[in-house]
Amino acid sequence: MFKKIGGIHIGEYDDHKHISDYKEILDFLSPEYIYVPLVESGSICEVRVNEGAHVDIGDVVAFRTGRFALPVHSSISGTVVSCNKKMWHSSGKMVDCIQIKNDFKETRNEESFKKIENPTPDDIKQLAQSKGIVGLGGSGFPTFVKYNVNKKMDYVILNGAECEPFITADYRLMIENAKEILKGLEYIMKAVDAKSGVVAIKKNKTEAIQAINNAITELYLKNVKVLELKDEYPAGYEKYIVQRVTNKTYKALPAEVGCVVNNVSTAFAMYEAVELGKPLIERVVTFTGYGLNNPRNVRIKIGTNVSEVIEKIGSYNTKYNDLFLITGGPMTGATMYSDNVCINRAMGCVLVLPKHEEKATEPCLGCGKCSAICPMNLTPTEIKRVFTIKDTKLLEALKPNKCIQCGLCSYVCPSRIDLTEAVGKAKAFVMKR
Amino acid sequence: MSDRKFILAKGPYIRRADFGKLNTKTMMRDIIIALMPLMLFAWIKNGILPLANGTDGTNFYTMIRPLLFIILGGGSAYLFEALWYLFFLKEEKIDKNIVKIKPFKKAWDTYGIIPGLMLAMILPVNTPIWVMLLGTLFAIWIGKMIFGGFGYNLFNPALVGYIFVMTAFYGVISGNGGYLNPSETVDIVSGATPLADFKNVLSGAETLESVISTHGGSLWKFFLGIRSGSLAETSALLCIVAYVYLVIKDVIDWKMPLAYVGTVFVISYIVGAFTGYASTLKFALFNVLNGGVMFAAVFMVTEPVTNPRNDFAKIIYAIFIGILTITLRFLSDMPEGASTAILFMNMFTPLMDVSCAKLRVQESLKKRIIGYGIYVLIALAITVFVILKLTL
Repeated sequence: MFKKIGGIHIGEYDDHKHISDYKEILDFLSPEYIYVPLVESGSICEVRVNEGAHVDIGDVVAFRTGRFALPVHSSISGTVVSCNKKMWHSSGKMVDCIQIKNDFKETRNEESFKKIENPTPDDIKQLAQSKGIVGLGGSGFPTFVKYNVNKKMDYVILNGAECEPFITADYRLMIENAKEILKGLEYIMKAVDAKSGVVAIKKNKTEAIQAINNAITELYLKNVKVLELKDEYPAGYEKYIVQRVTNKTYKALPAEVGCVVNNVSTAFAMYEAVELGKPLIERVVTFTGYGLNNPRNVRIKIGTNVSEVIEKIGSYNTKYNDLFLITGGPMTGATMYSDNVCINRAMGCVLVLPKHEEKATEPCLGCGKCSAICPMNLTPTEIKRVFTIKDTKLLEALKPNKCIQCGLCSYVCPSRIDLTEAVGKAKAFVMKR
Repeated sequence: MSDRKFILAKGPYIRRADFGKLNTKTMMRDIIIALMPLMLFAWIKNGILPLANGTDGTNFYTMIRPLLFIILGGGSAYLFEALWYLFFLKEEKIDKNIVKIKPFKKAWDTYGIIPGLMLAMILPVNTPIWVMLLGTLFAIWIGKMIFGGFGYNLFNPALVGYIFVMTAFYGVISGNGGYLNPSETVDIVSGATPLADFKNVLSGAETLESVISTHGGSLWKFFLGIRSGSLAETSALLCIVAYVYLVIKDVIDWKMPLAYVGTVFVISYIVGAFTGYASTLKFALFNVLNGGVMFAAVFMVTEPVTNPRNDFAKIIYAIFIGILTITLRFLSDMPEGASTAILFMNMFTPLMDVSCAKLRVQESLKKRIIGYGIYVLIALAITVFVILKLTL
């Protein structure tokens, strides 16, 4: 049955974007060390360098194996210190990393920075792979896979919704680099032979909409328009945006209904890759939260240690003793035990929050707000109950595997029950069988 | 490399409940706030006005009694809940630790007061206070605490107490004056409440117009709540005010009261059409405005603990209560149908939750139509049964 995916309006000041959205992006491109994690989205990466070797910017230091092979480039020049340095990773585990010490000489591997004049669609697809472009919105899904479609696409949709509270990286990027983003969009449209392009932005982000609209007139783009989304969470959910644009739903991939969905920062990376020949070595990360003295967006080299950036932008707020360090947004992110976390390609936000007053969980009131809010039509309370009594057959009928773990059920629960966690466990249990 | 350590937790890290906007406490507070105008109206109508009009037999005690009655209802319910914690449930488990319960604080945190207030509000005006106290004891202990307290009760505690009082002490209550407050005793000669007289309409002994004229003269008065009935559920207008307030505060689901009242309206119109009132809406409006329909729609049908959690099940549940209300009202001996209908449907809440949770994620359209079709068929069958029973 067709149902419009709904969401919830997280108030103007409850979404906490105002603490970082007015500050310009700060460049911090000279870290002392970088750490290249040898795991990406669950796939193992092969090491391509030896300890002690010298690397230039753009050297391929690791190669992602598996179905979606993709190179990982070094973002600085220097010497490889270690190939199995343990670092915290945004998955919440410690992983092996290649540790590279910066020599601050900024020498480039010109082979990796090679660009193609007047690229054909196939060239662009090729570049998306060889420059190591992945989805920068948080998934880390290799971008070239999305472009390898057999049929003609109708739309290329740039997702600039950034619906999670606190995060403002895409918002700042749209204001400061609107033209570059649209040029990137043009390349993507060329690659998949799409008729029109759409930039989806939440309607309360007027400055970003203004900037994109100005850039559209400046570049004379006739077939690109801005789609204003409702100010709600999860407005940036891929299915939701595709539904808004095409009025169609799909099962697994948006290509089924003729859409390619990319994040705006991915489009920016595509622009850099095609126009400047630059591999994916930099990205904008939001450092925000009330535990920081100076929350803001920072353009960093991929692989930088989080603690180094936080030192650089003004350290932690000394008012609070107990802090959470969260990689990713406040709804879906994971807490870290230490701030020695390597920033991987898919990480868009580091959130430092003071520990809030621990309030006891109350019994389920039965108000049904979790079920009313669920974008996937699940009934979290039932799933939690059935999972506790381990009724496997019934649990499968309730389809916890459809959960997208947006965190809304826990967010709205008036009794503060950890429903998202419970459904997540049930999902893992069902998927394993 | 820094060596600062951080705390680990599970997401999401921001909760709406923590902003103080919508958590269990504010929801329960809002329900009490929504009840207040109704309490005030009950006090003015049943206590202050008879004294001000100088009706025979009124004094300061009859003036204060309605308010005292409601406050005692809430207070005694709180006390009985605390007593249960004092005697029977001394410890509880929080995060695998056994913690000793502080009875009076715990009873406050589990909102023992609300079922008591509601029970006092839906009892007849002249219920002796000792009967009401027995009712709250039964409501809290049997209706709520025996299941494990707040959040675990299967049946609406206030209605459990109500049914207990009405079956065990109906004679005592009517002997004490029943539904009529001092001024109504003077005005109304026959019968008690409009709904009690409504039985005569169904049997053909009286016309609807004559019943309405005995009890005030117009449906407009019923809407404002100037009619004989239970203590605080008479005013449809104030129930609508409470409904708007609770919907704005996002405490209750806006669809449920509408589905319930709408069903009562539609079914009673259909039944009315078969019994000779096809050209007028009066028959249907009479049924919506009388008895506890409006009060039940806002406060009882939407009672969070005992209604289904699933979005779709909620509406089916409300529609079924509507059908059963009419069924019980027209076919049973008791004047009021809403309370029994709600208790009856409470029983099916877990079943509807599971079946609708499954149907909601069912991908095959055919299975989904069959699933919802079963509900529709049952609803139609009951309606047809009522109509046949009344007309044949």
